[in-house]
Amino acid sequence: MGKYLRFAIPLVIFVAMAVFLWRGLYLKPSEVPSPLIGKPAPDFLLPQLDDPQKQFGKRDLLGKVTLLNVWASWCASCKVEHPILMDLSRAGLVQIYGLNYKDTREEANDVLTRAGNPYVVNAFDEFGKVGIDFGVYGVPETYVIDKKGIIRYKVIGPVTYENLQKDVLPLVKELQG
Amino acid sequence: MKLGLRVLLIALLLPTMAWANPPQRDLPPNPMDTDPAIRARVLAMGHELRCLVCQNQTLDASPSDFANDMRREIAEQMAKGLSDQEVKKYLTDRYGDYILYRPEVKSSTALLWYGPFVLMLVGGGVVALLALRSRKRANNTPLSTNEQQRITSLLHAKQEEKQG
Repeated sequence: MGKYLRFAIPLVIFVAMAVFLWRGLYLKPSEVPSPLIGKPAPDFLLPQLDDPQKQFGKRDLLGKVTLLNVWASWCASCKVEHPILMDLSRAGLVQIYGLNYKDTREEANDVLTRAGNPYVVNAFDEFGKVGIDFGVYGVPETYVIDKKGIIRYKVIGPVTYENLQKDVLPLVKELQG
Repeated sequence: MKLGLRVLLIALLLPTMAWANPPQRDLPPNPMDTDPAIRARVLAMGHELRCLVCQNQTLDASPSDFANDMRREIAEQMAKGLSDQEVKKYLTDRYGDYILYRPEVKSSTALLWYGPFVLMLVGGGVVALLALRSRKRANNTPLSTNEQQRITSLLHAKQEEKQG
């Protein structure tokens, strides 16, 4: 038994490495995990996109499970994501709020007029300050926020049918109780 | 490029995130431009931070819009009186440890920082052990009579060669 031990050691090391490397194939290193998961969403109050006289802030998100979608008219992936958000809003499973990020009112409203408006309301984050508080580093990003205003999940990149089905909607259902 | 291939390429690239051409806006003056001390601090800190869009670059080296925004934000926080350490905490609170280009030395990164040295010691130790063991084995194994004779005759042959 002892003389087979020296063959077992490289084999064990190889198997251990293979497991880690295999696991590594499924990791996405460019996705930066958010430190805000499990923490309260940053408090914010911004003018609304369609009406500068009105405001939309964190307080409007409380009391229900919501999605906060960060988007902009100049963002290509947002155009890909948009029809999916339209479907989601029509399904009525969860309310979608928007954070319009570093955009102009004109161009953003133009998108909503042309492609449809899946949002309950949009906040106009002209300079991206609120985005920084949320840890936004690219667009689009979508946050799942619970009834108490705690961030529970962050979708990095566009919402897809796949990540809705696998990650977002089950969580939303669970949070809705 | 063939049309089909082009379409495929575009379809593959679309799902990536886009930081393309945000519009110009009117902003209050950047403290980096008005205060040289802050400018120096921001540029220095830029070496220590990661651009999250071009993730292998420091914030300092990145020309991306995100990097510009970060530098401005850092400048504004410094203008409010935050120290360098406080600014770093401000950023890691929002973006996590990954925004620090140089990972902090703490319990969760101990393996990263000390791992290579530990491995070197272990490797060196194994090599030393093997070398010692093989030398000991060489010293402990006496020469057989046959080997003894062959060495003696070879040595004599060498001596004769030199003298002859």
